[in-house]
Amino acid sequence: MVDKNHGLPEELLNLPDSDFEMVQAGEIKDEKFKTKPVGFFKDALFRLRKSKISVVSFWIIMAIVILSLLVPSITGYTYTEQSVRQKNLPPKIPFLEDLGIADGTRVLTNRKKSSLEDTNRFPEGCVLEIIREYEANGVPVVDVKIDAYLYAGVPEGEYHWFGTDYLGRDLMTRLFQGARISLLIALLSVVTNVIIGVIYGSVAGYYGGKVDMVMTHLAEVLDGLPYIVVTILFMILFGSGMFSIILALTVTGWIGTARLIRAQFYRFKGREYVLAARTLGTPDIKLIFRHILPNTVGPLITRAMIAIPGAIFSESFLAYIGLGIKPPEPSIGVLLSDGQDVLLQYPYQTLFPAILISVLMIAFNLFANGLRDALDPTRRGEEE
Amino acid sequence: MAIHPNDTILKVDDLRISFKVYGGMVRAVRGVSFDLKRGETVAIVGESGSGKSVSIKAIMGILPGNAIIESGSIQYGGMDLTKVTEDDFHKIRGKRIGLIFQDPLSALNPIMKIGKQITEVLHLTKKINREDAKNQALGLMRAVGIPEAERRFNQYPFQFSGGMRQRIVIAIALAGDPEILICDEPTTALDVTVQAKILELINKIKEARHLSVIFITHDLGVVANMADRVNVMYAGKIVECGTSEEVFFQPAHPYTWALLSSMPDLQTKERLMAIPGTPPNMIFPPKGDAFAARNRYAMKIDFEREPPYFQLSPTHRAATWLLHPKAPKVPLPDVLQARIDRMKGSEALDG
Amino acid sequence: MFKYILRRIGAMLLTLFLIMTLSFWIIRLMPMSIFENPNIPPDIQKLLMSEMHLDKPMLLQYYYFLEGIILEGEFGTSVKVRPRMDVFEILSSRIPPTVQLNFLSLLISLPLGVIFGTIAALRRNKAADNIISFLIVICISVPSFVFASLLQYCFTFRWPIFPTLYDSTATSFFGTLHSLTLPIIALALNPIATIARYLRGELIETLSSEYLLLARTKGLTRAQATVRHAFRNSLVPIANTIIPMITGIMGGSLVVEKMFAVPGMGGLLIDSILAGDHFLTVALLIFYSTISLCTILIVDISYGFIDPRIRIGGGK
Repeated sequence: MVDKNHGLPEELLNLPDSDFEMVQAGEIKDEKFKTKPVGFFKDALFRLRKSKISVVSFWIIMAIVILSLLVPSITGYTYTEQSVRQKNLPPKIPFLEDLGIADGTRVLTNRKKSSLEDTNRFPEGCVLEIIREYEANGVPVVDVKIDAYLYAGVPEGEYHWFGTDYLGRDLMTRLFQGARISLLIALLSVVTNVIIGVIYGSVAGYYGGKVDMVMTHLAEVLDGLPYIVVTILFMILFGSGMFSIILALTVTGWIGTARLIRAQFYRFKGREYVLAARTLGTPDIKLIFRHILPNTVGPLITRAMIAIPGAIFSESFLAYIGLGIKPPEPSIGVLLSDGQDVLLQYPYQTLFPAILISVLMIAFNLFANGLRDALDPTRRGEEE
Repeated sequence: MAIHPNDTILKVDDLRISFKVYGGMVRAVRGVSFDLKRGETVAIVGESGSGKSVSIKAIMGILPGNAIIESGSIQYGGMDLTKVTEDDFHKIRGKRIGLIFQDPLSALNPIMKIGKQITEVLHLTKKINREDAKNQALGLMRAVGIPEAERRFNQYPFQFSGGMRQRIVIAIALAGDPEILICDEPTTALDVTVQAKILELINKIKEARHLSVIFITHDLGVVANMADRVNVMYAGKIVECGTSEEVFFQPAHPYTWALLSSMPDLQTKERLMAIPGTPPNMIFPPKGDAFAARNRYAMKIDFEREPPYFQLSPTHRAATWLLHPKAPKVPLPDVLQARIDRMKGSEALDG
Repeated sequence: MFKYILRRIGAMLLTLFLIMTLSFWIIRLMPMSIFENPNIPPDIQKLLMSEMHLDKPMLLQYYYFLEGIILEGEFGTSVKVRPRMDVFEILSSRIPPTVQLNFLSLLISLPLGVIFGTIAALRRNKAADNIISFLIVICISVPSFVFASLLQYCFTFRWPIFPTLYDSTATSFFGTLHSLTLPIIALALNPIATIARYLRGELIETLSSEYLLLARTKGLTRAQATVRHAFRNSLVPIANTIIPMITGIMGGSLVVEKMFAVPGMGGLLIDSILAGDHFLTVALLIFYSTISLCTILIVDISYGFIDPRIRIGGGK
């Protein structure tokens, strides 16, 4: 047998008696949670704001939205204003022009040297530099760098920041007007898709059984149709225009949302709290909107956010294949496709819309990613 | 009971493991020591989060990347497993120490044939040719009680029931012919009816292959049938250890009391005793006895000073100030005492 | 497995039938302006109409339309882009470049996507992963036609390494390939990024799975476990991304072909849409659908071969 002191060292045996008073004789209550409960959205917002990438993308999107609302009315041009004389002007931006960037100059090649004297064609002071002199067919010709604005007779102090297009329209005005339209198309088509998808998915998911079977099969068949083919067919049917595009993007666009909602319904409609509400006589509509749908809001928002760049892409795609909105309305896609035609001569006409659409798509995708992570309930409370 | 006091096959000494997380360091294992003797079954019992799984992950060398072994050693076969590099560890895993998982549903590769998952071990680690490997695998499958082994050999995990999958997992663990078998809650994910069969199988295999077994569980009922010795873990520490008889019939730590009282059995008419409160936050382990806040018999010193181990017999010790000579003599709770008497009675009947 | 294949083929045929029906009704709903040409005398117009069964009742027209396509491969006649020319003939010369372009893009994107995705997953949260993940976001977000413009400007004009336009006179395969390089790259960037992103996610998940742990506890080295268990299992769900990827490539190629003057279906489709040549448009769309549905079918069936759960039809 082991000794009475359980092999303890002397020091421990001589602890004061007071140490051995019972202090928790009564009932022990479960510890109260010390932290305040945090609502789902507050928690999500908190995590969203923690992600620098999401915050930056959000502000980029906001900046583009604000610019697209403001710019078309402050440039001093309208997006339809044409001027044949001022066509295809290169970009010219105050201050940057002094640095030699976007200074409104252009190189003209293969001009008769004698024509430089003709002030009708080359207004005074517009020839900045003769780059190369040579002879072609015995005639002296030159490559010259000119001030394209003077050359085109643009009044002093007038600037086209992003240049002009083949009809002399100000590209910055058109670009942001285009962004406005592209964003509007994207937003409206996504909202329409979400509404249709939520209703369709809710009905299928909530009622289940035969209703669900028929509805699901129908959606599946529609979903099997190649997206591009269906969109093109409906664009042909509806004709070009903003609402045609929105309609065409809606034909099959809602299916994904419907499927998501239906799956969520199947997950939640059997839960005890829903059954409890039902036994209390809660009407169907209230069950759907108060008890089941709120569970779906997170994935739904994420989905919608991812769908927006998709819709912007689709719009540009349609513009490229000649099914865009009606001219003279611009959209990012229309501008890109117009710019592509003169890519090698006037690359800036493609450059600006290309940058805008790229930045917009990247920002939307990054923001959607951040939102997905923030709204993911399995990641709640992470990084507390 | 076969105890070979001098033939220790594995010895864990003062093991401390922490996890780096966003909020700081989670002290998952705080000075765990136990040993495993050849041919015996040692159980480690505790609530989830008590550090029992982390300890055995350290023995298998499969701690996740953010885990840090802060101190201590795991002595096995003349090596310290905490110092073995990943390049060498795969020679120990499987071949010398095998592991049975908690959840057989997710432990098998869903798109690889069952047979291949077994032969793979023989083939890759033991360089046994295909023919022999297949024969050995079929033998293993029969040994773990899989009917129609030949047909089953070419099936996929989703065609197996939970219990059958666990048998496969056991077969895989045995394929490397290890001398130590670690069972990490091998029956938790299974139906109750299947549980008993799996336990029986583990016992049978242990006898047949002279294995030493470490058995992790939160279920004391399971332990009673399996273990020679029991370690009770709480908040990263072993609070009581002893032979099964000692821990079941003379429990000394109030946490062990609580565990035993909360264990359901057929005779208990009273309400089951739940353990009040929640386990402590291991990012900030409490001062003193980690169980104090949930302990009805807590004394002042429990909140101030960590209790040392009190040796109750050569094999039995517990870390609670209640054993101190100056502490008030607390009798076992009545419910528990009644229960122990019943258990002793039924044991006498069995024996 | 046989049943599975039959079911997939059935679904595909149903979809094709639907597209034909949809196409037919959409064309017929369009104003028939194509024949209201004052330069064509009324009797010839009438002859044309009867030749094309346009004077019959709608349902009968529909029957003729289907019969023509299914039994004779007869899609009608082009009216505007190549007047009086058989649509099928126009098509058959246009298909090879398109298929070449799409197939090559897909072919290079698979291995590249897998390589980048694997590197990113294995070097998780290290520099290599961060760089790859950054590029993935860019390649997924930026449309292929923007890449095409960029590549065309940079590598045919600024640094003329590649020809600006498709070289239809090239005699060797490599000659064609040379002129197809830029469109292929433009089309492949997005699929590469899609695969890489998906594989990265899958691989990270499988790497932390229980069965990978089991593979390691049974004595496999980390490399063996990764290759034999994690990698193969991660590749299975990749098949899910291949279908949208193929439709993505094919859609992108419609535009990219036009940019690089590849004499494929894309340019033809745009021309016929712009000209309002509806017969040709519809024929192109049906063809386009057939090709994409066949590809999807192949992917679906091979998916069944890779994943035993689909093949044997078990649960879970």
